[in-house]
Formats: sequence, C-alpha cells, structure tokens
Amino acid sequence: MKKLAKLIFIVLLVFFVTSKNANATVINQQTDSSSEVTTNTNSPTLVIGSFVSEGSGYDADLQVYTWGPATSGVAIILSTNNATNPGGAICRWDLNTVYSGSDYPTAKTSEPILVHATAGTCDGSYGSGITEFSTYYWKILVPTGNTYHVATNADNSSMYFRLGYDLITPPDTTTHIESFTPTNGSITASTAVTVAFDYYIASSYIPGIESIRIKLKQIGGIGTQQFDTTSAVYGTLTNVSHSFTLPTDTVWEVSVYFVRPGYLIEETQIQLSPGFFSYRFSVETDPTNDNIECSITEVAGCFQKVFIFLFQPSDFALSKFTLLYEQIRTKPPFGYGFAIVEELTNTDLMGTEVYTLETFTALDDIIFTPMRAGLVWLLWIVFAFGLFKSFRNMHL
Amino acid sequence: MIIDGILILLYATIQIIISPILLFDDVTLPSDFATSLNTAGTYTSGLNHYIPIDTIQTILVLLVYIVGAVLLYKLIMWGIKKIPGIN
Repeated sequence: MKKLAKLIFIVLLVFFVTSKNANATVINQQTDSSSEVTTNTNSPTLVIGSFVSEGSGYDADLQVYTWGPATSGVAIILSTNNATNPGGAICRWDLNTVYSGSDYPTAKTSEPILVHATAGTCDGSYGSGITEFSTYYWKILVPTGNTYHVATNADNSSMYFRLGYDLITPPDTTTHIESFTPTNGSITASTAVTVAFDYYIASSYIPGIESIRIKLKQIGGIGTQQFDTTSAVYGTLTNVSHSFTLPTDTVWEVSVYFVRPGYLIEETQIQLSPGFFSYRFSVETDPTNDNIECSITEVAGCFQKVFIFLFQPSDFALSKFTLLYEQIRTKPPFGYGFAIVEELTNTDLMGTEVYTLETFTALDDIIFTPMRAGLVWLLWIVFAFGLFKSFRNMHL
Repeated sequence: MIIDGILILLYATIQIIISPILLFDDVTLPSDFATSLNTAGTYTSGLNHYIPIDTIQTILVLLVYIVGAVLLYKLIMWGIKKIPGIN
C-alpha cells in the first residue's frame, strides 16, 4: 500500500510538471530550434539571443538571429520607444556592415549577429531623442522593401524588450485582469479590505462595456457588497481600486464583471487569473484580552488572561480550516461531489411544465391531495429508517 | 498558544497531504449536466401534483451530503491509521 501511495504521488508530480505551459519568452523558444526555422517564413523573424546593458544611458549589446524573405534594401534593426505605437520616436541600430540587400539571410544562421547600440543614437530626425532607454518597451522593426515590419518571434507574436532588463514577455493585449488583490486564499486582519486590479479590454472585445463591477459574496452567510466603476476603458491597462468595509471573522468570494447596460447579457464575468473566476479571502482579527482587567486588585483577571493566551484558539488558526475547506471543495475528487450537490440544489425539478395532467377538483380534494401528503410522510419515514439501519450496520 | 500550535500543526499536516490535490484545476461540470437536470425538471414538474417531486429532490440532496460525509470520514480515518504508531 505504501509503494502504491508513493507511485501515485510520483505520477501526480510528473503530471503537474509536464502540464504547466512552457515559458513564452524568447529565451525558451530559442531552445526549440525546429519551431524557429520552420515557421514564420513569410515575414521577417528575429530572435534575440542575449542582451547586455548597464541600464539607462549606457550602450547595449544584442546578439540577434534575423532572417526572412530576401529584401531589396539594407537590413536594419530599428526600435521604438512606444510598445503600442510604432510611429513613436525611433532609435536606430544599423546592420549595414553585416548584410546588404540580397545578403539578408532567408534562414536562421548558425551564429548570431552582434549588434551594438550606442546610447543616445536617437537623433532629432527620428523623434524627440531618447536617452531613457530602460523606461520604455522596445520593438524590433525589420525592413522589407520600402516598408518596415515588426519583427516577430517564431509564434508570430510581437516581441518587446527593455534595455537593462532581461527579456520579458510582451504585454498582454488580450482582454484580461492582472495584479488582483486580495489574492486567493489570503487572510486579512483589517476590516477595510481594498480590492484592486488592472484590467485591459481589447478593442476587438464585446462592445458596450460601460463599467466594471466588483461583487463580494459572503461564504456561509448572506452578506453581499458591490461596487461599480463610473466608466470602462478600452485598449489601455486601467487600474480599479475600491475599499470595502467587511465584518470580522467572515469569508468572502470576490468576482469581477463587465457591465453592458441594455444588452441581453448585462454582466459578463471575467476571470481573475487563468482558471479562476473568483477568489476567496477571509477577514479576521485575533482575539484580544483588552476587556479583562489584570492588576493587583484583579488577580483573577491575570489568571484568566494567562489561560486565554495558552488555550484559546485564535480566529487565525480556526479560519485556516475554513479556507482549507474552500480550497478542497473546488478540487477533484471532492469538487465533483460539491458541484453535483450545488447543481441538484440549484436546479428546480419543478420547472416549466411541458405537459399538464388533467384532473377534477373533487378528485384532487378527495384522493390526490391526501395521497400526496401521505407520500411525503412515507418518503421521510422510509428515508429516516433507511438511514438508521445503514448507520447501525456501518463499520466506521 | 498551545491549542493554536496544535491546530496549525494539524492544518500544516493536512495541507501537505492534500497538496497534490490542490495542483489540479478547479472542477467544472459540463453544462450538459445542468441542462439535463433542467430538462428532466420540465418533465417531472407535471407529476408534482400527484407525486412529491420536491420532497424527492430534498431527500436526494441529503443522501448525497450524508454519503459524502461518511466517505470523507472513512478517508480521514484511513489516513490517520497510516500514521506510524497509530492502530
């Protein structure tokens, strides 16, 4: 049995490790040489091998792999200071000395190209002059003929980096929420709980969103709270923050919705992080002994405080089990039981009738209504007897 | 303090034991499950005048709770018995 338990644990661990998504940064992609070479053959591709910089105001060295369709011009790597607007101020690093026209490689070369960027090479002809390299996100533009194309990685997504930093994953331009607090399963001692997050609504997302709604629902209670922002912004990462006053020793579930007044579906719930559409947190305060007096004239109070300190469990310790319960109830295999019970509870087995059985009022009064009442009693009695019998014979 | 320590120790032990379970994604039932229940509801509602369907629903839910609790108890006892030194 012990060997079986160990084997199951190892299998679960292997499953967990292999099921996690691969890091989407270029550094990891660069190890998958097959995807870099075989994909993205119709537009310029660039992979940044490594990057070194002392930070803002210093030169930067890039090792790059760049290839694509043959160009008629010189291969140049440009960068912009604005991650979302390629028309912003442009700094220029030249590859003139390496490639010229048809020499631009059509497949990935075995050795990277070393590109040296000198701080302060952004001159007025390209924009406002950038010296704060490390502040902005940068893209690589590669020329094709007389136009410039944004260089992409092997997955055809635009690449961004910042000088002085490691390569970063590009900002998420899909509709999403990030940096959500309070975190799932957290415990806060303060009754003033600030729910804060950043949201991004893509321009191509559903139209008509006018506000963002935060909903709080008490777990194990009837408390609810709600907050609506006065507006919703498309296309820009926007912060939302609101402080809720919550009673102590309570557990809450928080969720976020996009509100579209006048639409058939007015509320659209948005996930707070991959796989989570709501978070749970608890509000608690440790018990204090402030009301018990301990002094020379109140010695009993001193003993009372000592015993309370030694033996009274704090709300902090007790709430751990509440959160444990909340964690377990959503995970397999227990989650299936809870989910089924929730569905059975929420489903109304007496919904809209698709047929009606005709009857007479007299028959109802004399036969069917008393029969129904009798059946109710019978069902409960049979249930109680069955339960008693099964518990009596059960070996726990 | 003492009880706090025991509770936190117990919590930590349970957390370690169930940590592989927490790695899984949250359980979501397929929408067809709810749809099937609702559809069954539309057919059974016509009978509610004669047969107490609402009582049957309540008893079913209670049964699931009780069986689940018994299974959970047996699981916990099994786990406790696996601790060395406990018969």
